[in-house]
Amino acid sequence: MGCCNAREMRRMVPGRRSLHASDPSGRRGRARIVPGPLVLALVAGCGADSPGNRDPFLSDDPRAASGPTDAARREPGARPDWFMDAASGSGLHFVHFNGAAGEFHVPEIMAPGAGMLDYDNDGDLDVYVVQGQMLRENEPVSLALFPPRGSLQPAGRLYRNDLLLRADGTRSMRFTDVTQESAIDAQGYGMGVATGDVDNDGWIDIYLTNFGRNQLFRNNGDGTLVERSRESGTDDDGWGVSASFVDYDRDGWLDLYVGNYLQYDVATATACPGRTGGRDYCAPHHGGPADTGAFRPQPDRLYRNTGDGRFDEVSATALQGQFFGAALGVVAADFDSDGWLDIYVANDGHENQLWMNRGDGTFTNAAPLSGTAVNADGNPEASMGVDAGDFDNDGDEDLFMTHLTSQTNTMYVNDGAALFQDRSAASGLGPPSFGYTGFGTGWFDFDNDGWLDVLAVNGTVQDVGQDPGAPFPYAQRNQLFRNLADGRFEDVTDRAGAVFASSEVSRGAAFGDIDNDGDVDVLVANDNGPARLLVNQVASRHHWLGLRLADASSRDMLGARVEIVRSDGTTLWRRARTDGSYASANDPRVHVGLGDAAEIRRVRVHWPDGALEEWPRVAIDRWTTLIRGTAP
Amino acid sequence: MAPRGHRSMDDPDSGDCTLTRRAVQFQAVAATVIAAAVLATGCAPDDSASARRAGRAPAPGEPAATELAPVALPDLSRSEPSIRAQIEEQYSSLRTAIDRPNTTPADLSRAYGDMGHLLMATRHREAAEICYLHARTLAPAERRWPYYLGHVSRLEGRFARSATFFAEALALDPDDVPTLLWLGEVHLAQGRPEEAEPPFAQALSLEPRSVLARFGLGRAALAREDHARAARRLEEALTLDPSATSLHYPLAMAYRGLGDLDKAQAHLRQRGNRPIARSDPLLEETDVVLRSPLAYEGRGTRALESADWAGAAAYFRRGIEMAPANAALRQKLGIALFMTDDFRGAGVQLEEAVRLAPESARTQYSLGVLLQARGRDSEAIPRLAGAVRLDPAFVDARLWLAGVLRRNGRPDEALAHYAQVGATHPRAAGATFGHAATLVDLGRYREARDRLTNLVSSYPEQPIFAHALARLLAGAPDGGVRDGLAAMAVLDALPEAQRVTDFAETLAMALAELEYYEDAARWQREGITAARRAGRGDIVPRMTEKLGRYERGRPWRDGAPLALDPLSVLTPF
Repeated sequence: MGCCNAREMRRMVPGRRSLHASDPSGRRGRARIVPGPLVLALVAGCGADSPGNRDPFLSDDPRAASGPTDAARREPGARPDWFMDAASGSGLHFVHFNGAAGEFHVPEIMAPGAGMLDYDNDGDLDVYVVQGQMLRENEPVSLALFPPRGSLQPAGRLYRNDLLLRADGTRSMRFTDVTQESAIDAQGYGMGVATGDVDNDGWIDIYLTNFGRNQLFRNNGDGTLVERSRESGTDDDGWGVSASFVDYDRDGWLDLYVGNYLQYDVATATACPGRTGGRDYCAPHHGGPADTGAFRPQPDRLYRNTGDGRFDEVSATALQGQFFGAALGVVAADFDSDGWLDIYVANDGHENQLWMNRGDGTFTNAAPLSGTAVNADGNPEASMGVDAGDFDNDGDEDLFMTHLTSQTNTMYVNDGAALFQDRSAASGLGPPSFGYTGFGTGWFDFDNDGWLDVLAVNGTVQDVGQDPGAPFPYAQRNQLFRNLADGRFEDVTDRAGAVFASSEVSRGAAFGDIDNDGDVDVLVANDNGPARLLVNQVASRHHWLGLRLADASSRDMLGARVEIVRSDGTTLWRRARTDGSYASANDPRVHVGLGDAAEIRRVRVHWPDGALEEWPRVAIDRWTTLIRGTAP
Repeated sequence: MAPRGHRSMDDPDSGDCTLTRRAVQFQAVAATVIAAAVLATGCAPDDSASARRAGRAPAPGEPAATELAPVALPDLSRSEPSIRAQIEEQYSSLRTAIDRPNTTPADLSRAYGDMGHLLMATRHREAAEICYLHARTLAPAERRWPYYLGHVSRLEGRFARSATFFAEALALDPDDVPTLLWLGEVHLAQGRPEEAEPPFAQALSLEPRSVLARFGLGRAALAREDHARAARRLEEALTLDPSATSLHYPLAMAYRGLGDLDKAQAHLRQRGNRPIARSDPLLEETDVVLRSPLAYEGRGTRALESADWAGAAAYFRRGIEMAPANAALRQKLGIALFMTDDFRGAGVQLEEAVRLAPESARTQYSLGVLLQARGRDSEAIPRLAGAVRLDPAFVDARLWLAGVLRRNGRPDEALAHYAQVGATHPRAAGATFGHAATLVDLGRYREARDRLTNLVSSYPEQPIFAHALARLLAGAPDGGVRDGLAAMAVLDALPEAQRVTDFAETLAMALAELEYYEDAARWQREGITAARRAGRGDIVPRMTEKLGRYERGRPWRDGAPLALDPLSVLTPF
């Protein structure tokens, strides 16, 4: 029998802050802030294994990589996979519907994204998965080449995670489809999801990007959400893909950058010739610059949160000097460490942009001089997903982005002043990706060794002959790269488990510790296929630190940077964010693999407004909340 | 000479170049069986002991290279019928060559190679590789087969294997420059600049004017963070091919590495996407094997991209021969002919394209542009308006329509189109500029000034906006807008590189406005000289008229109505 689920566990933590204050009727209500200790243990540590010093990579011993999540358990005696798909076993029965009807409309091949978010503030991550629909208005689903599963009209789904923690430290996830009771009504052809607390009430809100009008859902804090798209002014009707909540003006309210893709009209767009002359999906520049049939990029949008439920669109005045590309990936980070969050935009077939925050409400595009606009040969590439992270532990944010087949994925290494070197080939990340079309991606320390690794989820956008005979022949394997701690990476895909052996048309990837066991799991959203929940089985033999960075209203402090000084004096830098990857929303908490360090000396938090706080001791191997203004 | 393994071992009458009867019999059977199976992956390996033995050592990692595997067709179910037919025809030729008792190894090698080309062109690379391997086995002294194998591996991202094949090709022909260049490229792709440098250097020694070799050496140096050497090599490359605008970016990175940010920025401003021309006849052979309307359309479009208008037209014509009712091919042929100044031919094609696809906004647009270029504005306007009606988000069509409307005395309509583009694309500088110019036409100088001021602020790298603003400030009839000193300040802020022919003319306008007529006349004369030097005799009369005004001590504002365009071509002053 289990000891507790996450919600119950939270109640057992002495002095914890009540995030789910109960009203007399027993229903959960909006958060009431109850003063508590400065550092609050949330959920982990309920019988968790004591980390040892064994390196699971060096051992064939199945015990070297424990598998505490029931849904992902293997047969006794079998060597455990590093990652196992726990989606169907945990109730996450989602299959994407792309509405393809034989006309090869580009949106069909670009979706979906997915999100990990704790919408009910119960301490575990829930899941939102983006769904498609028929592209033409009033077109019956009976025309679809790949009919939708189930009887419901296809729409994005929200799944509540009821994480069960047992006395022996094992745990299991159970997902329940709560879309209807949450009142989320995703109406468009879904592309992506972004998350952030836009009204500072301590409850995470959801922004959906669509091929068509985007939607903002404000979290009521009672299990329901209400649409505020039009009222907020964020209902852009372009083709949004990735979006980022970022407090760019440091006024305490999350602003919003929406990356828009192409001007595309299903009424007039046609298919393009494929490799064998048959019809296939078009590339943005399918006919080249001389072809008037090529699609044109759609301008991105920057919205400033006015704090009263509305957003002002400030793109024209805030983003100076450049035209926009066909945006697919967006990530915000402070690339030059000046205390102001910058925004990097990955464009498909156009120069990428690095919007450097000038601190006065405006940005200037520094991508060309920074070395991040085009590849080392001077050519724009088809950038898809992107993430920023300090892979070399030198204190600055480096970039990794995924690209089209016949281009390599790219890693730009930051010198600390936002001048980057393309180290794709030398790092070993570039060459293995040449045959793949990457989308969702993220820096994450999958083995908790203190060095950020990389996952790229793949699937082509044109039939390149890698999936012969398949009805939707765009599937590819996903790839996992392990950081060797010397600037190089090794492709460990073949060692990562059976789930990495299969090929699917993967698009979104959301990263987070969905079972609160101290490692990073990945939710992969597949085009015309099932969502996969890759539960990490490999990291539990290393120490880790889990931090939720919040303000007094329990708002996740996206953009905050954390400086972790380990017992040996080495420092790790990580940041709180939900953005990055492709069309997806990540765990807002900060996960830090500590390697063999058994304790840490201190944690410094650089809050988004520039304030700095330091905690001398924070417990490791558990999740902890650091609340702004409460450092000793 | 064929390798020993290809000679007949059991037939004393067979010559050196004759296949063994047993092998031929086997191949005929195997090919039939495998073809019937239609394996998805193409050429399946064969472990049969009766397969022919090859007479050469395999390359590292080479799959089953010591035996010739039978060839099977890949899955062609998604192929366009004409391409499917072509592949099947080629396959049949290969089988015939295999079955024919007197086929020489050289002939059979070519047959495998031709099949490989077709499979490579249709991106069935796995099957193509096996065909090329067979071709190489049959003709081991032929450089082209390891060369193509190198490309197959390169295109699959197997760079180490690719390098092995390119090295093998070089062993057969050490002085082949394209192979040296590709070998350098695959070393670079593996992050091995130190290994890339020798083949690039050798290519340069063999072909001292090679831009690609310098480009390779420059990038290798850049990867090794030897910025001085990178800058030198890339500067050399740019000097040899100034049209290769893609060179500016790595050059900028080299100067950035040297700490010379001014030079880096200067090169960044000039960066573009035009690649370095690459002459590679062997590789081009694989690019032209496909015969289908779509293949010709693709080739023609690539030719359009590289400004090879005549070549593009030829490809499109061949496509039209196969598909006369293909509106897209006719539209693109129209564009290609238009670019070669064959307006009549372009008109014929575009009219036909419109007839075939009346609901195509692109086709209407292309015809509208053509008609406008031929001075037939009244006919162009309905075409362009049709394009906008069919595709309201077609920005280029809307801007072109606005321009024609404006020039035809319909500024209010033009203004509406500019405003619509501006509303949906606030950063579309062309729309803002057109809007401002139309406001000037309408005498709404203050609004025009404000728009231009914003443009100058947003696009400091675009001198045309600064010139237009300066002109407006120097010559606006509205005294509340006209400000000679402000015009001088705008011009003064222009970097040296942007002080182009128009600079002299606009500066003269500003000086005249400030009543420095002698200086104005002197600058105007400089401008006239520069215009002549730049071959712009067409604007000299206009400039001379202005000069006369300054010489008579009169400012420009009393002259002809102010118009922000046409400005002269921005030639260096």
